[in-house]
Amino acid sequence: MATNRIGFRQFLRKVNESQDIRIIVDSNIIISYFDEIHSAHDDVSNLLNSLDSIANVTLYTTVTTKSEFLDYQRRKLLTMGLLSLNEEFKDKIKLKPDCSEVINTVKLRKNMRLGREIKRVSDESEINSALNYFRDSEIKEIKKVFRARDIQDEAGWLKICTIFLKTKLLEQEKLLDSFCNYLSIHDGSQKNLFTVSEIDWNKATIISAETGMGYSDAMILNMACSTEIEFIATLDFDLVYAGAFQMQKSILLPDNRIKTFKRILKN
Amino acid sequence: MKKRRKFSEIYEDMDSINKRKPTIEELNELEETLKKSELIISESENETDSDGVPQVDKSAMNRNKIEDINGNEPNRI
Repeated sequence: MATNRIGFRQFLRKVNESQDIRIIVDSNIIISYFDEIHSAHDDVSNLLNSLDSIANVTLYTTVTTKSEFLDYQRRKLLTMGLLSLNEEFKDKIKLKPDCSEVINTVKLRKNMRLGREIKRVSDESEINSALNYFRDSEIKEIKKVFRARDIQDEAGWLKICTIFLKTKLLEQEKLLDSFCNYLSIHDGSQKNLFTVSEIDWNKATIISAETGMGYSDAMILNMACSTEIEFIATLDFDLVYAGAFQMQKSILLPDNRIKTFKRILKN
Repeated sequence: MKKRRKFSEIYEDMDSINKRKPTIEELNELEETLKKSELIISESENETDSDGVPQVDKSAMNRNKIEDINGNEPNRI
């Protein structure tokens, strides 16, 4: 049962004015749309903004995808905030040397990772934008140094989170909620979307086990299998590969990635 | 389902949140909290000593002190 892989440009050419289009979006689509330094940002922006101006488009995703996006934003906002303490605000906030040193050390590590990635990939569009931000373990490393010295509390670190993260992340969550709908069989307004009376999550495990794909992607595929939604938009090779075996859905991909995938599958 | 805003408008809002700088008041609050937690250089430490060397967190400098294989501090006269 073949799955259609459609390039963004080809898809846009086929869309009719005022057509109702429903798309399940993978986390990498949401992340790349909202992160201007993501290598697929231009492709995804062009797809979604063009669709928005032509058709009646509704985006769906899973709550797992929402958590992936918010976690990406958490790392991004904290990275930007911590770096600004050492750069833009260094004259106002004169950090003790061990505090500024740990930020510099982690920054250096991040830049080295990014440098290696740039050397490794032949095509800049393949660069993983998450490499621009600190890893979770690195944020924890910095957090440890920002503990108070004499009193066992986390006031310093918590204030950093309040200033650079808290309000922003809460506001961004609201914006994401207005950007897409979270698929739920228990949501009365989505009743007509589902083709089953109950989601069988064991199927997600089977998809993951049969293909080796990540569980979050397997959940998206399983959800897609349980609905009438025709399209899945992704940047992920895994989703395309498994989609080809699992169901009749159209997978939307950036055009340059389709070429790459075709070459890989052919070989 | 209620009508949503344009994707591009949502993007603009998301982007402006990413780029929003802390206010002066927020920076003052942060400075005050970090000061209480002894995470920033105090005014007295920030003053220079008689040799004109800033007296920055000497305890941290001691923690990071490097000794050679014989236990001698480098650059010791």
